[in-house]
Amino acid sequence: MDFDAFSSLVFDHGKGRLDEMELFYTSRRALRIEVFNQKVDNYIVSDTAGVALRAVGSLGMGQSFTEKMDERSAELLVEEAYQNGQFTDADERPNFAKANEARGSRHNISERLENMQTNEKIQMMINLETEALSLDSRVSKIQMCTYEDNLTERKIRNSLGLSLEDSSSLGYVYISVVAEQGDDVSTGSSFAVFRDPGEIDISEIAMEAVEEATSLLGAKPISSGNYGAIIKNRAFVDIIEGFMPAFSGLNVQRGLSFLKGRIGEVIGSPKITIIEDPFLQDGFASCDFDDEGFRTTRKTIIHEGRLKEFLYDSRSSKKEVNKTSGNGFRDSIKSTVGTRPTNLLVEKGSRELVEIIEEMDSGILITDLAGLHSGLDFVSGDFSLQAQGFTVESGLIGEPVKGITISGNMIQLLAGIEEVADDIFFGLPGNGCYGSPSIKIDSISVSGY
Amino acid sequence: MLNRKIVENVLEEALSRGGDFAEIFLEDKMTSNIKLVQGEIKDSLSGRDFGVGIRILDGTNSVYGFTNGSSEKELVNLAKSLALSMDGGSKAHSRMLGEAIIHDNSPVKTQLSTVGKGDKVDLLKRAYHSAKEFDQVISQVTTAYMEEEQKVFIANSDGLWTRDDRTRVRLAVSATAGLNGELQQGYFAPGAAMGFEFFDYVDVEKVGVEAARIAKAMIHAKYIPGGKMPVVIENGFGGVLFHEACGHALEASFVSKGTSAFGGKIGQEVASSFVTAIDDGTIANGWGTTSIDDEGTPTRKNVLIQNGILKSYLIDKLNGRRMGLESTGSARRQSYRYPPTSRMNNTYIATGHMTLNDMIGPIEFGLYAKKLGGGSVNPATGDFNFSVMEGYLIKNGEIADPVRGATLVGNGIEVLRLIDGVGSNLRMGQGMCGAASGSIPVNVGQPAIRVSSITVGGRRGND
Repeated sequence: MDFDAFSSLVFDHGKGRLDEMELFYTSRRALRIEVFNQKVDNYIVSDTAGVALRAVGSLGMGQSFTEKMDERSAELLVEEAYQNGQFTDADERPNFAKANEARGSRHNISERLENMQTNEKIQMMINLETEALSLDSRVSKIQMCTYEDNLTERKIRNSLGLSLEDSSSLGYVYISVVAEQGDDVSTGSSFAVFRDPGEIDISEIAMEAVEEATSLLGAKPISSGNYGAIIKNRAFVDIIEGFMPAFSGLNVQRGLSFLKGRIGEVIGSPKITIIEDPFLQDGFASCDFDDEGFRTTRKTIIHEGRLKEFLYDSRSSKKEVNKTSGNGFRDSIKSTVGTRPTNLLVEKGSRELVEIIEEMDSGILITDLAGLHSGLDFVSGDFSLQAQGFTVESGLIGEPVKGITISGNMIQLLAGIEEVADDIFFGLPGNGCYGSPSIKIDSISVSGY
Repeated sequence: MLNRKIVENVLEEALSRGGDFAEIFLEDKMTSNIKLVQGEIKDSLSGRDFGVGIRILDGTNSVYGFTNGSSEKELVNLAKSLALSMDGGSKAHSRMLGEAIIHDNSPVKTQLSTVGKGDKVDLLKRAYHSAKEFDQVISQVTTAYMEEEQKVFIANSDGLWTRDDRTRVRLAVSATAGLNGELQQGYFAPGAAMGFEFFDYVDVEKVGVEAARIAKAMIHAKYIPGGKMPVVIENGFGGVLFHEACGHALEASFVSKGTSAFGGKIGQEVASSFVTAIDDGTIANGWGTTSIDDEGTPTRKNVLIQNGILKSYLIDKLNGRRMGLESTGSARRQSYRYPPTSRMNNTYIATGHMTLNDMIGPIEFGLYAKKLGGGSVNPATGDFNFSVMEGYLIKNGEIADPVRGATLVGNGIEVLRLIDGVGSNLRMGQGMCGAASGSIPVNVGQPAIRVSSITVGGRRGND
């Protein structure tokens, strides 16, 4: 049964029992190819869809979902949403978007990606694996060499007459390599995200991964202490993404953010500005409406160090600003609507990273972080993360470093930013797409030997 | 769930252009989640996952496809499109399908779906009140109830026809303490592969108190000064150390590709003689227990390390082919959206003989990690990290001041050799483990253990 037929069934079943209803549909067609030893090792195709219902009845909001679209599932969807609404706090009812609150719909479909043959994709990955292995004799193995592309569709219908849809296709290529020298082992990885496969530069991806892995051979801990530090774009973007839930209006209201009550305050150095831009040209998370059907908006979250605004979905906005900021998104049909940004960007500075390194007398260059899901706490703002990188002495990159942690608090980190480079880097798009340049901070606490 | 004729036709179609093994995995799962924030239900969400995955193996290569469809036409079409990626070799045949009898490792007394949502809401409120009222420093409490009833059906061209019903329930309490503008959290979330009778065994009030106790201890704690030091890690969720430091690298998905630090070391000494480590998918009603794995092989108790000697890896069918070894019943996947691969079930370090005092007594300065948070590992290098949720300094052989913000970093191979004490108080903790085949429930466990030296991430010059 297609979504049109299924949605009419659900609305019919719900009539009389539920006051207002909203259906959210997503579908995804994907291809994944993993290459190992010049052969396709894993090949995965998929075609899936699912529907979520949010319904407001006499009490609170009830939510349900299904991946099967048939008569029985339509009944189940309504019944489960009704039952779930019986216990829910009535204050937590969101406003559903009215038909005229909607705007445009984009279809970011890449024809060149759609037309690319599977054989070409496989060949590209074999070439990538071959190239990475050939670049340096210390590269011993390829840990992962993966291609993925997907086409996702999103449709929202509600009982106020709203009907919206959009779609987007993208692909990515990822490689992770292992380098060995004696007993020493290190890894390096690199990726590229694309809409147009013509833009992929296989040699560059291979080189980046190999350079990372080989340059870290022989890495050792440094002594514990406070160090001046440059945090490379791809590491700093992980910190920014990890702390983003602290900027969620929902978490702030629930007393789960160290930023509560600090709107208008200076929380960072004047060098730091963070914006959310849903309309970013070629942005991988660009869209015109959120998962509740409200318009997305461009906003400045931190302006030259000052905290300007939080991200809201419909229900969190009801208690504060009384207007959603268009940041109501779901991780999947199986999750509730929370808040997250679309394209989030730390604004770049005007200086090159090499210049900033050259000016550093003594300190560290952090190139990679691990343990982000457990070592970073958006509630308290504290972080303590496994790090690797290099020492910097008299403006020159020195010895490779690993087996250390960097620790501190987000406020202290933002306040300590002395320089922002011009080298913006985007992470793999997941729930939103995050970009950041490299930054230099006055001091960070390092634990090593 | 699917009739015999459809299954046979799909397997036949899957093998029509080569390949030597085809498999169907069907999943039908009902989930329900209820979340209570500050005493009020904020979200109640339930629904149905449904899908089918088809896999073809050709030697050591794998092709997989999945869909929400379940009609014969949709499944045959999926099998056909997968077969197209085979090289067009000779057509293989499927054997007659025979039903496998399985032993149920997780019997259920009270089906979760027969219990009203009101009773589940009551549990959340009880846990909330016990946490909130524990101390006035507790500023925020979130409690969550999670249940799932997953039915899986697996058939393959070797003649397997089997099914498994998996019921899981969990209660999670997250308490936040606030003082002078600072916030600290405590978390406790017991769960089991059990029906609603789980709450006859679990004291809901104690779950709330435990989360609040940790939050209170940590809001009064100072930041730990980092550096290398001896660490005693308490039982239960402390087992995440072994899970990260060693367990992942024993998974055949890494070993078979030569990207595991433990590759080629069966029979060799890889840990101190204090260490015996086991992965057991059969523990009655364990959070990580299943009766069969996600390829239909019965789960079993696998001794991984015995007195320091590496005995076994965790193996699934595909990686078993690559390694020339049989499956250890360790193939797992989050859902039909993932092809299965080797994973852990309930992994623990076996009981030793020392008391906590034996281990702490000789330490002049170190860390007592009473509760650990999550962690991660790079299986190729063995480098791992995890966070300490509740920690205390050890000074002159005694547990002293509480400390916050600690992270443990190290290398799996090194840390296993540095375990120089194992206690007698074995316990399990529940977690979700994320890897190539998705997020799956696992038990991690151990008695208290001592590591003679490990890098503790903390803050210098701030306290």
